[in-house]
Amino acid sequence: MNEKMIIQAKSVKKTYNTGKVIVPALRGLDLNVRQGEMVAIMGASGCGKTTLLNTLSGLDEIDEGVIEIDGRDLAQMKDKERTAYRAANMGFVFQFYNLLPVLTAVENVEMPLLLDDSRKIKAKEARQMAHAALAAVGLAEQADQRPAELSGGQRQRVTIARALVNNPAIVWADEPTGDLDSVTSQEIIELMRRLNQENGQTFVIVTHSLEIGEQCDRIIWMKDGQIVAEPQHVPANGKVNGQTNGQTNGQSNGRYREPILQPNSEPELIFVAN
Amino acid sequence: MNEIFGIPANTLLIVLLTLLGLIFIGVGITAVRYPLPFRLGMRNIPRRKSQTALIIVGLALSTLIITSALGIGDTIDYSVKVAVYDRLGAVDQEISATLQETPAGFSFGASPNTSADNNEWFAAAVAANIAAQVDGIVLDAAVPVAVQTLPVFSSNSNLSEAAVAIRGIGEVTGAGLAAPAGLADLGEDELLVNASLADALDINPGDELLLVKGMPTPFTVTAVVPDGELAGSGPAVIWSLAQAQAFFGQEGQVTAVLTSNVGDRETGVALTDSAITQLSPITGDLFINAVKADQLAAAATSAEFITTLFVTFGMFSIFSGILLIFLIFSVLAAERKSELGMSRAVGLQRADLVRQFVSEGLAYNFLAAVIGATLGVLAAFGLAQAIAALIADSTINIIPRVGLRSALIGYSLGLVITFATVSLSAIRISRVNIIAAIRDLNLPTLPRESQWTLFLRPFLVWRAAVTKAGKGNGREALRLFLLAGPKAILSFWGGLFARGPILLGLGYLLAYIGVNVAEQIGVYALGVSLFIIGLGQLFHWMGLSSRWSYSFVGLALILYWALPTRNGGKLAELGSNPGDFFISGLFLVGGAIVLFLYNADFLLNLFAGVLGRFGRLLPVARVSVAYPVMTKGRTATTLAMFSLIIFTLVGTTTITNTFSNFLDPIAGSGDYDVLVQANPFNPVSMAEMETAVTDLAAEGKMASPTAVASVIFAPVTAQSPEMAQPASYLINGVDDTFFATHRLELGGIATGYESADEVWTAVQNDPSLIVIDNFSVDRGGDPTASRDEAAFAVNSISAASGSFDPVTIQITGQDGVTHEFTIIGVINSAPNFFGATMNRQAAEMLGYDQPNRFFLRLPANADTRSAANAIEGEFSRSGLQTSLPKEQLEASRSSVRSIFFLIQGFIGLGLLIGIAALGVVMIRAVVERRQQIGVLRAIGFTQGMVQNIFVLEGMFISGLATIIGYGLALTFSYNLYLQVAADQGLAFLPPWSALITIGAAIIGVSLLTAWLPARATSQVVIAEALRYE
Repeated sequence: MNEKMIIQAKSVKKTYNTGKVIVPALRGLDLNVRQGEMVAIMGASGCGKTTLLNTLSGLDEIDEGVIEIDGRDLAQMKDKERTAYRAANMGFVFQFYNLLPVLTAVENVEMPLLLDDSRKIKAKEARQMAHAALAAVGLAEQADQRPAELSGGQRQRVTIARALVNNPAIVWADEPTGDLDSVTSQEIIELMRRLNQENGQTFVIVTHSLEIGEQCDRIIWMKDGQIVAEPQHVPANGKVNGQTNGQTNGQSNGRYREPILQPNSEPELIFVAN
Repeated sequence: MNEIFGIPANTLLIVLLTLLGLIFIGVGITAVRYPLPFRLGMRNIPRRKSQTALIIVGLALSTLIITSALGIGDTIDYSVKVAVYDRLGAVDQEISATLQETPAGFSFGASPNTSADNNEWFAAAVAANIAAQVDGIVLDAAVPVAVQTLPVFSSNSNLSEAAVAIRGIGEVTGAGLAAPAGLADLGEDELLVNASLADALDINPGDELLLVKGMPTPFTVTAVVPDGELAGSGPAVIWSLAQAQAFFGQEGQVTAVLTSNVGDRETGVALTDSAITQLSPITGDLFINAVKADQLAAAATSAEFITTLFVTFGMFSIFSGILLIFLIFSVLAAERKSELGMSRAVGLQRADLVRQFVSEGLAYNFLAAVIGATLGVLAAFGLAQAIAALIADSTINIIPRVGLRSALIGYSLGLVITFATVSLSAIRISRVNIIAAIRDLNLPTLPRESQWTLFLRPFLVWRAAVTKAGKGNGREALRLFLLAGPKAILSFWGGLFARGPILLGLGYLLAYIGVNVAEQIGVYALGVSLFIIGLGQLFHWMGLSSRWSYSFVGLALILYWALPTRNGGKLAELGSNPGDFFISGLFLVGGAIVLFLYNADFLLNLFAGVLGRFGRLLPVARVSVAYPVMTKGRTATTLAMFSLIIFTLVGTTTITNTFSNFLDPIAGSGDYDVLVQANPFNPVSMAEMETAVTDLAAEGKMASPTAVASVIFAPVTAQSPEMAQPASYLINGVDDTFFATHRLELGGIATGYESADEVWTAVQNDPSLIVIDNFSVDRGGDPTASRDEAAFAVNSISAASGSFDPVTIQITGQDGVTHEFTIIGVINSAPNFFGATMNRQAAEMLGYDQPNRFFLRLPANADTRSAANAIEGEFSRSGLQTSLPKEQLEASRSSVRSIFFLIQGFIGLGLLIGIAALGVVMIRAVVERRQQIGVLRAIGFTQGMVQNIFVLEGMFISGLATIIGYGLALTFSYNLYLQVAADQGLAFLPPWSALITIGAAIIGVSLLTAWLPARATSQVVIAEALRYE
């Protein structure tokens, strides 16, 4: 694995002000990710995983601290510059696929190529590359179908194809298997792992599934907006927060109960064994 | 106003209020029996406040338009009625030797005097018999009068009036009428004047007035009395009947007896029939003219005409409003798709969803109709004020008034229309597939059952009913027989309707009825259109693809309505009504939308392909085009709304601009500012006129004219080759100054002449050559042309054609000698040059040598009114009259234009609907796609690119609607012009600058409605947009 740090975050703070409540989402967080590394970010709901992913990828702004991607501080870039950087160097996979419903699978996939100013890819070439990306995720036959005509797993494959089609340096994935059954989840994660290994791309994956986390190079645990050591209790079935695939196929031998938050109390993870 | 579209207003109100009651009762029952859907519906209202506001505005617009149209009708109705009451006072009937005819149709003006202005004289003995009928039961007053018209001159102000009613008022029998104050005290050489005459001639009590009957006779004005009733409402001199009889040498004679019915000036008219019945036996050969009843009926006709005009133009907006409501609820349904699916999943029935949406819709409607009706009343007041300002010179005062009945009709009609639309939308929404809604899936549409299956089903149902009955299951048998059976029959007919045969048959039937029964082109054309639609459906049933079948329908409808294919043969004789314009607009735009709908992908890809050539526009274009293609129904509805409104606006603007040039002030007046008409009994020579004008100019009383031309305007008889006998006609024997200075235009030139100048030169030099007016030639196809059959006519010359073979006619002058003249030109519409225009020598050949008309042209910006007054004052004792032809034509044209501007403004209200529609679509689009905007931003779309997606989408819709609206409206207007106006020598004049301004404004505002929400959303932090649900 390359020793070069592609993501460096230092003393990152992010607070949400809803008008009524001030919620500190990230509390002075430090993080480094090596190029080509596949990292899982895990933790209970509300611990700041998605906020961390969004701020690292430049989708959200931070209040304090520094985030450098491949040595560049995204916060110092203008929006247009940051957008162009994202288009050229990043790919995104979201839990609910977030494909454009009005475009076909191949049209969705080719979009990042058409947006990448740095490579000046022609429309015809972009279309060929999009077809190739779809073939790589096993959806060559479904290229002309719209998202509403695809299954959940197929939609997520299209999302992955879209995220990888322009060969980005980093792929950000927020609960990529959150809406899928365990078999499909495993397929998706294997696909991502394969692409990571073949292309040497950096993957940062937010997930609740320990199974997925365990297939990554590293798991970053979060609690209350901070990176912590491994949690004291890990469920026997390897699922954190119990919201994912583990329970849908009846393989779960442990169950997670949402913590009961008292005023001024710190949220805590409570696991109940079967 | 008693009728709306021919339906009695009271009946309409009763029906609407009943429907309104049923609606409220129905929803009330729903609220009590089905509280959950009702509560769900109510709770949806405050969810998104800005959206609720938008919905209410959209729903209110229809009510606003209906109410304001009705309010305008009320205003006209009331104003014209008040004018009638003011004019006639308590007079209800007029018994005279002539039959008075109240002009039918719409007029802002009204006959200025009571009609008894120049009646024939008859023995006053009848008046005594009529007076004896004043019984206090039917008649409460009668008065004999003698009315004649004379020129009158004021010695004090030096002003004169050519036609003043000289009203001799006899003794009033009964208390219902009162003689003007001071009448009884008049001496032999004294008289009263009414306010109109006092204003016109600047008369004060004590002034001397000359009545010009042969020699002027001086009288002293003792008082000015108010206009109306016995004093008349046009300029009038009032004195006693005895004075009038003596002055006119008609002792023992009267010209009319005026009677009043029991009741005041407004209620007395109710006894008109009884009065006529009572008076008929004693009036002999005299006519009993029900003047008040007739004029009130004319007032009602005027009001109905105006209301019909506004409602007809408003119908486009109302229809667009209905589409907007459909659109709003479709968007609501799309937004709530997954929650509707969930509601169904947890146990809500389909009917519950309908109840939920209907309850919610009624709450919106209730509020929207109140707002719409209130704004409609205000709009009616505003429009009425505008009309009042525009026709300030009219003889009636516009008094803004909106009756409670109209406001109620506007409110309830608006509410019923919107409720019906909401209910239909709700039924459509309720047919949601639970899984598809929850999982946001597209399910394949099931093929329609074969017609054979549909045909067999009722029999199968009945057989099942019989079987059930046989097994003793009577309840199920009854259900099958009473519910399932009729439903199956309906499905069969529904299948036939969707597959074409029904519309084919209905279309044929309507076309047949239109030609042979109703004799209305609108009914016929509606039939043809339905036949075309049925044909398309049939093609599809036979296996042709829907794209080809319905593209045929769209194209055929456009061609049928846009091209002049309905003119020939029997069709040309069919009647038409204002509603035809609405139907034509509907089918034209409908055709275009159907054509778009079935070829949208091709069109949109073309759009994307063209834009995609511009670098980074490709991804923007692709996304912006993909949404309208995906939501074709929504796109088509928005397009239809926009196109309809633009069609109406552009159509009326173009048509009015073309038609308002009917009277070009310069060509119509020859570009002369002042027309001086000498009294035939006191002629004025050209030398006298020139001297007077020079002196007046030197004294600074008028500007020095740049041209003074003289004309011999005289009656003759004339006969064209096609006429069996001569008819009355007029000549204009013009001098050389006229030839040198006039700016009349020729609409037709005889063969052998190259130009209008050549024609005029020939007429100036050759006394056997003439040009004639275009009213006397063939005006075939012009529905406004009406000519007495016995009038002089040259039908071998067509007003529509620019050239014709010279026609020789015979003209007989006052010496009885007949001369031949050759027509070598036809003047375009110029009211002051009716007749044969010839040189001075030709007029002299016909026995006329004294000019009696003088045309003056003044320098630009000169005070034409002062000049006319100065000349009139200078020659006042000659009874000379002046008028301002150019100014009158300009005023007439500007009055017509102003009214049309007002209608355009009214249509513009509808444009708000179009813009609101686009606003709804765009704001909803932005909200719906907020999460997708987050994705777009995440994968590399800049803020500007996201905004451009929406701007391009808005541009596509508004641009396409503009193309459809403009294209169809200009084609339609051109065809109308060809049918109606081309014959009148008019040019087709689309007001390009106005049209470009309107188009630019529409597209500009539309883009703004798209850009503003997109801009706001594109600036949202991406992570927030991604979280949006």
